[in-house]
Amino acid sequence: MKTIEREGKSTSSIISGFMKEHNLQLEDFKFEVVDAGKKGFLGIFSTKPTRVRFTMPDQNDTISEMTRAFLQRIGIEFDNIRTTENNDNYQVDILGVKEAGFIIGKEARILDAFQHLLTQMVSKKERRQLKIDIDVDGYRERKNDQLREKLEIVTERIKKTGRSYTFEPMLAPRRKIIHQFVENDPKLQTMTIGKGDSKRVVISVAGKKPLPQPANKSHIHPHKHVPKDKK
Amino acid sequence: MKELIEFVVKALVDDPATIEVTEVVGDKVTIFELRADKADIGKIIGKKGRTAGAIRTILNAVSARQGKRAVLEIIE
Repeated sequence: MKTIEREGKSTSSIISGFMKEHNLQLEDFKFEVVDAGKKGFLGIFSTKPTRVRFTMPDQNDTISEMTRAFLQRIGIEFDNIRTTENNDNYQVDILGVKEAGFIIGKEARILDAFQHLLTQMVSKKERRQLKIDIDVDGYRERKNDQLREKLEIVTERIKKTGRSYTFEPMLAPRRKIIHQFVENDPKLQTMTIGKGDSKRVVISVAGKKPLPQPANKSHIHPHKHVPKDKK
Repeated sequence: MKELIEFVVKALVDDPATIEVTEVVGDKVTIFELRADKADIGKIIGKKGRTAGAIRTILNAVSARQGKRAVLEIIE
C-alpha cells in the first residue's frame, strides 16, 4: 500500500483531480479527509486548503502478486519475488527457482511468453500499458553480460578487418544493448535487418555499406536476411 | 491446466464472466476450447497473434512436462 496526500479547494475537486492524474476509478483507492480546510470570507480568501489522504495498492505489490499467482498455477516453486520500478519500467526478479531451465525455456521462449502475458494482464488491471521485464535468478543479466563481452571482441575485429558482423535474430531489449554499445563508438555503425521476430543487428564500419554475414549458419534462411536495399 | 488458461484469459478481457473453457480429452491430445465474447477475442489473440501465441507456448510447455499434448482453440 502507498499513501499520497493532496491539497486543494474542496474534497471533491481533489478527488477528481487525483483520479485523473493516476487514471483511477473509485474502487481503486481509499481516501480520508485529513483537514477539511477553512473557507475565508465569502469564500474569496481561502485561509486553509483542504487536505485529502489517498491510500492505494502499490504497483510493485500488484505485479509481484500477479507473478506469484501465475507461477503457482504453472506449478513452479520459488523462494521470492522482487519487483522494482525505475521510470515506469518494472523489473520483476523471481529468485530461488527450482526449475529455472523449464520456466526460461529454449532461447528464453517460455520466459518471453510469460513476460508478455504478465505485462498484458497487469496493464489490463492498471488500465494503462506498462513495461515489465522478468528475470529468473539473474538469467537475463548473465546473458546480457555475455553479449557485452562478445561485443568487445566483435567490435575489435570489425575495426581490424573492416568486415561487418551480423548477429542472430534477437528481441528488442537485446538489440538495444548492441545499439547502445556501438553508439559511443564513432568508428562503427549499426543497422537492423529483417522483420518481426527475425530482426537482426548488423555492425559495420561507419560510413561503409555493410555486407550482412550470418553469425550462425543454423539461422540462414535464403533470401530472408538480405536487406531490402541490397542490389 | 484449465484453471491456468482461465486465470490468464480472464485477466486479459473486459468481461471475464463470458469466458468459458471446455476440456476435450482425446487419446493423445487434449483440446481446450476457449469461448469468449466477440469484443474480447482481439485481446486474447493480441497484435499479430502474440498473446495467443504466448498462451500456447506456456500451455505446450506445461503439458509437455506432464507428458501430454494440448491444443488451444479460440472460438468466438
